Parts: sequence; C-alpha cells; structure tokens
Amino acid sequence: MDKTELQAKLDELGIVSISAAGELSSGLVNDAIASTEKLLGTLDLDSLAEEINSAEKACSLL
Amino acid sequence: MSNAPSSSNRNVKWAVETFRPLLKSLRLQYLPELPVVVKAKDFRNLIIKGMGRCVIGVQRQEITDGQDGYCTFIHDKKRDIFFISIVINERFFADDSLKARTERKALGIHEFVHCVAIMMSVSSLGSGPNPLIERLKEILREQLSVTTSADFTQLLNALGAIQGNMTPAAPLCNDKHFRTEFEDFPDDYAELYLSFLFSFNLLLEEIDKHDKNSFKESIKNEDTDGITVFLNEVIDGLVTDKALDRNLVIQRLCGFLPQLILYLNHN
Repeated sequence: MDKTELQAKLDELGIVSISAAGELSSGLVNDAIASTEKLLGTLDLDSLAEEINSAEKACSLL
Repeated sequence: MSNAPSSSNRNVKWAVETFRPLLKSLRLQYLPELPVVVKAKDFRNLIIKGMGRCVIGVQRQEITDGQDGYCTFIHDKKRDIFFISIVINERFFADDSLKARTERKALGIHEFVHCVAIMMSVSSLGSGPNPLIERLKEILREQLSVTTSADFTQLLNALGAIQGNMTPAAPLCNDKHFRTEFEDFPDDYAELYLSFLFSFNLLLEEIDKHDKNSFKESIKNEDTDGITVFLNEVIDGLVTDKALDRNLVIQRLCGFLPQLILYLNHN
C-alpha cells in the first residue's frame, strides 16, 4: 500500500495514533492495521456498545 | 459521564491505585495466542472517572521492523468506543524463562503507560466534539508523511544493536514520550512507569515475606552484613517472583531506603 492507501485504511478503521519507541515506518503502520483488524474481528461491536451503555447507565443510577 | 477529581489529586499514587486492577487483568507476562480483551466498563471506578467507553486489547504479533512493541489508539466513531491496542513482539514469547518474563513485563508496562495516558485524556474530554482525536490524527498524518523505509531500516539496525545489551527490555522514556497533552495529569509518566513496575507497596509486600524483625535489629545495631544479607534476600525475591530486572530493583530499593526505615520504625 502506498501512503495514500495507508491513510485511507487508517481512517476507515478509526486509527487515531500509533505510539512506538522508534520512528513510524510503513511496515509498522501495516502491522498496526493488521493487529487492529484482528482485535476488532474478535468482537461483536454492536453488542459491546450495548454492554457499555448499560454499564454506564447502571453506574449513573447507583 | 465524567466525574474526575481535580488535577491536584491526579498524581502517580492516584494513577497506580486507579489503573493497577486493569493492569493485573491484562496478564501481560502470560499472553495467549488470541488477543486478550479487557473492558473498562467492568471496572466501576473507571466508569465513574469517565473511562467506561475504553476497551483494551493486548496481543502478541510478529512486528515487521523488529520493534519491541507498540500501542494503537482507535476510535469507533459510530459507537463512540475507544479501543487501545497493545502489541508485543512475538519474539518475547519464545520461552517462559525469568529473563523473557522480565522483558515482557517491562515492555508491556511501557505500552500500558501509553494506554493510561490515552484513558486519562478520554476521561478529561468527556463527550461532544473531540479535539484530542482530531489533533492525534493530525500528528499521525504528519508522521506518515515523513516516513521512509530506508531511513527506518538504518535506524532499527542501530537500535537493535543497542537493545541487545539493554536492561530492562523497554527503554526508560521520559514524560513527554507518553504525554498526549490532553490529560488531566500533572505528575510524571516516567515515574508512573517505574511505579507500575516496582512501587514502595510492592517492596513492603516482599519485606513481609522475610524476617523483618532481624532487619530492624540489624539497622538498630548498624550491622552492615545483616542489612546486606536481608536486602539481598528481598532483591532475589523481587527478581524471581515479580519478574523484575535486578538493576532496576537495586536502583529503586536504594531510593526507597529512607522511606523504608521510617516505615519500619513505626510498624
């Protein structure tokens, strides 16, 4: 992927920042994209949002 | 929902107490193959502090450029969920030796401090238009625009050569390295990193496993040999049981000694 494609992929996934000890390379950005896809792929995002909303609501009712 | 205390209350002690339960649940030393996911909404204290919409994922992965690890911040705009993804290089999981666990712990905690900085920033901002997200995206775009693979390979070669001899595994970075500039946290992130690794309370826990009365006697009698024997036992315990780098333990222990003697005089 060239830089324009990388940027488009970062925007699509909602990646806001990547913190690493060294400089940010295109290889590391590709790794960050892959690990983000893997992480988000393990989750049901709609259910997760409902769980969070319920927990916040329950907490505010206490 | 944000009910955060004023900045004067947010120091290293506050951060360690607030985030330690989250850190423990990530089990950084023993990561399985699949990502470990921990939701801040399962910690009431974090919901109250306005961090309930954060989800932390930790995984091990081959990293193309050989870096030790990295931390990615992701915002799901549609659902308003903040994901913080910590990745540790697969090479640190080659075995479960004390050396490997020590390196994993130091590196994992380094990335965890990035996670804490992000969560505190999210907590400070609350809901509505989010300047943090826009500013961080801008920085990422700038970083991407100056990236060149050739320069980076050269840099990594130099870094790799240094890291081969470095202890602890994760370099000790300064406050600026971790700071997002949006958090309500006037204290020092480098100190927070060290406190997560080895706090005074952890030292007291270890001291309690040994004959602390003999240590008190040795101090009272200015018995240098007795003091050294006791402290070496404590150091060995911390290095082995808590997977801490020996040099780090010795350095921190020396700093804690006046506080420790005061504590023992009263307990």
